[in-house]
Amino acid sequence: MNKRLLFLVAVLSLSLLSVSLAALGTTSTTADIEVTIAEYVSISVSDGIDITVENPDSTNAASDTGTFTVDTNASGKTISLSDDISWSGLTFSTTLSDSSVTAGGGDTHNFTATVSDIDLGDGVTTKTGEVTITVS
Amino acid sequence: MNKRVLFLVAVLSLSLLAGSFAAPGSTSDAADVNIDINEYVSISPLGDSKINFLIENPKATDETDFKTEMYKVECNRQVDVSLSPYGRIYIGPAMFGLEFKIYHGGEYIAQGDSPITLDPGEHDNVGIAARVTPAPNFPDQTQIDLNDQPGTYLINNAVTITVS
Repeated sequence: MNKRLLFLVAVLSLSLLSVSLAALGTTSTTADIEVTIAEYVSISVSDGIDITVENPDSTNAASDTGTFTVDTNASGKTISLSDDISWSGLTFSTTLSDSSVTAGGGDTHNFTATVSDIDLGDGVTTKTGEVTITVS
Repeated sequence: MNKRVLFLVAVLSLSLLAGSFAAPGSTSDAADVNIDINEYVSISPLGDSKINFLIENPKATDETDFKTEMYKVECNRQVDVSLSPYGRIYIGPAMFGLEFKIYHGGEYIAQGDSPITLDPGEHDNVGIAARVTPAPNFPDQTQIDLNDQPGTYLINNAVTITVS
């Protein structure tokens, strides 16, 4: 009986030995992958402001609406407008339809520019300027 | 007188006999010599085992170029090199995929190409090549786009290179 037990232990030991020897033939290691997606914000103006005053005598104020699209992958961004327009005798102002930005791209917004205090004293003229749209 | 001669002859014969017995004192035998050289297979990174990608424009980037992390393989027998996963996988929470290939001697070897076999010796021209790709098997948002929030996505142990 002891001999049988000894034989079984020997067989088991040899089996374990063969398994451990087989494992030596293979080795491996791993690599990590790190992907950084940067914050992306882009503004595309599709429709600017173009105001023509046909009758300055009867028109005190005139306005036009522009359109722009915000593409971003960041949430929590807001839009603001600014300008450095200062025309003598005329008042220029802008309003924004919606200042919040939706991430994912293709977020379209409107803004309205208004020129007021128009009268005959402004003469025949063409005024140009820029409205800055900021997403931050 | 004859007895004396006989005695001398006897002494001389014994001396010669003793001399002949001295010669077998130098002898030799053989011993067995057995040397076992174990199988040795090793792979170790030559860098930090990390592949970094920077997607500056997620709107315009569907996939990147391959970037490679190199390894040194040492072996005393012919070995095969394999990757797991070997192909493309989907990674969340951002929706994009990763494609892996074995880099060997300036070539990117894809699944289904000839297996990579290295001869015994030291090799430092083996690597893991990876790139960001559209995720496989997802009908929508299969690539990096503006739905993927800015941030850093770290996938630990994303790919395993095995030498066997």
